[in-house]
Amino acid sequence: MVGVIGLVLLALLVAILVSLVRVVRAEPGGFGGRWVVDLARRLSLLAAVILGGLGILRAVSSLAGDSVEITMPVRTPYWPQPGVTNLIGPTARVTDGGFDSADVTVAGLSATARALWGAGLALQAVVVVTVCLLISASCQNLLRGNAFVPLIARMAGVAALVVLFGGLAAQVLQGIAGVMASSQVLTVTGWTAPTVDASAPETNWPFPAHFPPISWWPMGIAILLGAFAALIRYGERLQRDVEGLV
Amino acid sequence: MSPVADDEATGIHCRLDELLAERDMTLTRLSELVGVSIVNLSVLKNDRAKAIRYSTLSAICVALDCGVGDLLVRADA
Repeated sequence: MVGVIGLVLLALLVAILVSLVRVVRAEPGGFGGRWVVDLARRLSLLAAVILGGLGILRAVSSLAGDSVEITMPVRTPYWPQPGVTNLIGPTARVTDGGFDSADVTVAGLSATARALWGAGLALQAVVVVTVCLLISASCQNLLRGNAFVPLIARMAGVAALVVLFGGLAAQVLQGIAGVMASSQVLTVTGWTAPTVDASAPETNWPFPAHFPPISWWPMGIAILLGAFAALIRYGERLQRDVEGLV
Repeated sequence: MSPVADDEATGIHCRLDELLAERDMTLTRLSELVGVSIVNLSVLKNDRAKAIRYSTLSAICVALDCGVGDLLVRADA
């Protein structure tokens, strides 16, 4: 999976460079010219196809594969303690903090957790594709000389809703899946050891998280898209006002 | 800028065609003198403009050596 992603990123980079060289050669007007808009259009379309396809692929593989790549939160920041005393080498020590999540590959995860994680990945892909298509359509209309059309305003409004609800829902679904994974991987009900040291912590294992972390970036992006939609509608009104003006 | 739809009469007639013919001047030449595209002058000439900038009006009148009333008249007159 990592190799495939690497190859895809390399192909995307090559496509970007080829597009850049072709467009700059065609319109040598420097930055700010039509070539920038054309490049943005091509790249956003390319990103929609690649990132959308990758997202769907990852969603399907989370359901079908033997193991799942998942982000697993832990309850409190976890810092592993060495199983030996008098550790030699470190010149500094951690006094606070630690890992609060880990990107891991988990085998044996329940079907429910897999389904939730896959659904979250699919929703993420929908959000990304929606924004990319909006950028592409806006650039396309700008190149045609119709920057302010009602369609773009409607698309921006729809994109704002998709980002807000899709982005938050994706986080919730993935968060719940991560908590389930955390519980299934890290819940310890018993242990054995070659020797028993009553003074040592029982397992030195991180505790499973109870609540999924939620980030509010979808709200910020949705607000920006809503402002963009309002800008397009205002521009459309201005354009109507000067229609037929010589 | 898209011109007026045929069913949106403005009530104003632009006598650009007549004035150009009187002065034996082409639309292309007028475009060069005034700095307005031939397309926009054509829109004006065919009474399909919805609005005109004062700067454009002034430049056309100077180029044709005429008054505003010579260029723009009521369509029902």
